[in-house]
Amino acid sequence: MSARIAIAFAVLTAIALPRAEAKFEPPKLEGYLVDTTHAVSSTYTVNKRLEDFRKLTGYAIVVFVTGTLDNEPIDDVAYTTFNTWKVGDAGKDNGILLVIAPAEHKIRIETGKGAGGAVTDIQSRQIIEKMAPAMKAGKVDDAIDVACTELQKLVVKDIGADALRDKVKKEAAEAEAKQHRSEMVWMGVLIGFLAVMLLIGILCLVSVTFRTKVWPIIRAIGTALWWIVEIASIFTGRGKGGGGSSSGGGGGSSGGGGARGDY
Amino acid sequence: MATSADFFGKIGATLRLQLGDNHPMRAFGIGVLVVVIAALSGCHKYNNLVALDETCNEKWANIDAQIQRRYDLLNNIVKTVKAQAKFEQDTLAKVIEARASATQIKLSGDDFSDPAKVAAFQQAQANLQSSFARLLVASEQYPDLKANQAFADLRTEMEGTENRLLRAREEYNEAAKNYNTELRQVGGSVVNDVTGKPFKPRVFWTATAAAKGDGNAPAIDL
Repeated sequence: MSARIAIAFAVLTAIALPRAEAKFEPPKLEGYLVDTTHAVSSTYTVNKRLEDFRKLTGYAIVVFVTGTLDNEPIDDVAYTTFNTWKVGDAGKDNGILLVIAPAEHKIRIETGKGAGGAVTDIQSRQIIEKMAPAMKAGKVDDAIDVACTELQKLVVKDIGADALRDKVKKEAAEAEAKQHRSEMVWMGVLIGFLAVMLLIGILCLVSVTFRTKVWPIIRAIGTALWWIVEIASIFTGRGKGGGGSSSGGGGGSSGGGGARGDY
Repeated sequence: MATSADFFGKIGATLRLQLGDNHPMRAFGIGVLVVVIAALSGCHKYNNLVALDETCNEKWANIDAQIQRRYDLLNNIVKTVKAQAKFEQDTLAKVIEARASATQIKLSGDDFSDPAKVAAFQQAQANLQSSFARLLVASEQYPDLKANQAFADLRTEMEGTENRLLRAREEYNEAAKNYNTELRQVGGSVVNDVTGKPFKPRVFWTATAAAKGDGNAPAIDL
């Protein structure tokens, strides 16, 4: 009996295994727009727009214009790419991936589980239908613009325009308070420094001992500190700037939501 | 490894100091130690198997949710098509029948390890899918239906559900593979035997041609 089960089991394993891995390998995700066809000219604008949108709403919209689907269904390509890039945030799964395959004349919008409420399958299809005329005319930039606008509208509608406005206001107030705090700190440091200098000056005037014995020590320490700061700044001063550019990834996963269409 | 050897070496030395070299309690103590270690690693394996089994159940719940959605959508599609007075009654009846018999088969508990039951379930779902595919093909001949917005929306939703179901199935098979692998390994099978075989290997949900969503299948493809 158990031998029969073992055989049945081995056979079933052999049948199930071939479909495990897809062939298509997505390129590396950089920013919010990956274009392997080099047909998109508004790369900077789209990246900036989608990055700002993520900062504002949390929703990660990523655009992928691919030169080839490697003879695979666009559903599989979109799913693999979505989960390789981990579009959106972990736990929230609030990512949306727009895949455009100009060579195959196919488009797919893949939504993470957390984005499926804001952008339903039907709405995804409607957006693809709106993109179709521009794609037929070979205007990829226009099609992406239309898609981003529509997707963003839907997300904003889902979050609620008022809630978003409140959030922006709150964040602005917080940033201002932070700025204010750091100004206060610097002001305090400056006043403290001046007070100490004044004290030293007065002491030098009143006390001969202080002027001849203590002051030279303070001056030596001060000079040493100044040199240390100078030398340190040579090493630390260079690496500044350049860091911290974000991308649409972050741990999200897709359960296969969205819609596809031809044009 | 080195540290655990040290650890046991120390325990051995302590036992020798306490009991002398040839005391019968020494052998007994070592025996107890071996049993305790075996039991501990066995517990670890057992917990692992329970966790992997639980993951499989979660993944199956995803499948179940999508199948439920499939039934609901099919209901609505049938209603919409029925409103189309002259639609092929035969095609429609087959879909209704396939749906009815598919809803009869629900898997739970030990069913997941029973190749016959899983096969019956798969067959029922595959029948449902192919009868629905024929309905879609037939619907192409009814211009009113093609132009019907509600019908188009239902089709889109059905497509989304089918795609989610496909992913849920892939994820289930992956989870079942992990679970089966753990179960077949030496430690896993020993623990299973000792605890009275509460774990049974799970049967995969294999893809049929219609379920794959390939371009060449008679399909749910646009």
